Amino acid sequence: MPDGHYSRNGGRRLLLVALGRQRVGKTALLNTVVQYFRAQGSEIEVWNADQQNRTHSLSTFFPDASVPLEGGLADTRGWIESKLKEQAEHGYHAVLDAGGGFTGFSALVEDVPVIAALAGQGTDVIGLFCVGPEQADLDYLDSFSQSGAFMPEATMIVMNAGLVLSGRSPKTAFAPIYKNAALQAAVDRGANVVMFPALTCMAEVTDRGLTFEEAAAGKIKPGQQPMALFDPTRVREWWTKKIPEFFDQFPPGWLPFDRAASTTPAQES
Amino acid sequence: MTDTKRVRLVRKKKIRTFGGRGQIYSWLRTHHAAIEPLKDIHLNLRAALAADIVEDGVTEAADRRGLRDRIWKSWQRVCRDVAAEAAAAKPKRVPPSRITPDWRPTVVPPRPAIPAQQTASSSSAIVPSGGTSLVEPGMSPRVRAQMEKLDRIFAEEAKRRLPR
Repeated sequence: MPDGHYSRNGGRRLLLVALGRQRVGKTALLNTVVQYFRAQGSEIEVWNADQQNRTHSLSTFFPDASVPLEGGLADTRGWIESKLKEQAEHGYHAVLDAGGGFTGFSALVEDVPVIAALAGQGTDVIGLFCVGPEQADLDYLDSFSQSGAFMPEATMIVMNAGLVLSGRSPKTAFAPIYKNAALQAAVDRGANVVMFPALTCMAEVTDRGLTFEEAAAGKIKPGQQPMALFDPTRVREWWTKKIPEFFDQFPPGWLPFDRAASTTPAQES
Repeated sequence: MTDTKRVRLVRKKKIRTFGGRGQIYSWLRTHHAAIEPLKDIHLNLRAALAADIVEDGVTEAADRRGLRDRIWKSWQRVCRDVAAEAAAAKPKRVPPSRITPDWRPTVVPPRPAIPAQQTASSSSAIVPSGGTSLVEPGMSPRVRAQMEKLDRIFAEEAKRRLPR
């Protein structure tokens, strides 16, 4: 029986919240997180509060995703609050796709100091700020941090290399972002910066509603066209090499590992 | 009571012993050839391996705590050892040289000196040849550390790419 402060398996539970403008890769990132850690045995609930995005929402990939009933900001805020209560009672990890713009989640964090309140209940909040190579992509981070409404100690600024479409290298394309004052201020407060690797055929995978494992294995669903010749290889390369390297850059306590299957390095030796 | 039987991931074999290595290592090494083709495509490889290892009565696996992680670490060690062994076993055939005895490598002229400011700002960053560091003067130690980390990642990426 969970005691309300720990996940069912005895570790602190995590709430990973993806934030950012529309179309910066919040859903792609959370889709990757959930597939990757569920494959390793982690118990993760999927909360999809992104009501603007229907075609590629988390509900497309995870039939068990929870969605709020249609309503206004206040309804979504209430729904998120009820999901947080359930999480505290049941002790699983969760991811929240808050959607872009001013959302029910924004309304909630404006209303109450969510991070501190959840920490008291044993839930650590991990902020995943998704950005593309445009300066304006950091406005979100800037406004959340300036208002003090939501800036968890555990913050990852995720630069999405998949948004670099001009043929430039991600290093060059993101040059304005590294120098941005809001990013540097967030890093000084403890945020980490990572680059989410690009998958050139991401749309081919997501449009078919395939998991990355399925796409890597060249699976075709009934009525679908097969992917291009090398696309399964591209997905396999990304899924089995680049994505593990990407998660290696996270502090381990910020990732939703299956605590029962994990032991510390000291216990291993 | 159940009438279904779990399907094993790999066929049971007599376990070879590898001096100085544990039982899980020996089990994985013995079955390496069968596991290798599955490693990139199996949905839950570690759990399936754990089930087979437990079924085979490996005593090191009796303590299920952290078993899947222990298996995974041992598996990585097995892969390294198998690769090292294969490399060592490869016959080192030296083909007869067709290069004339008086051949000398072309000497590349030295690059122009890097401006002093850039040298100072990127002294500890690992930057690909011809690339520039993201580290800039005036960055705080934390920002600098993050930029150096990104420099290393980009350098690794650049190594994988063909020259343009």
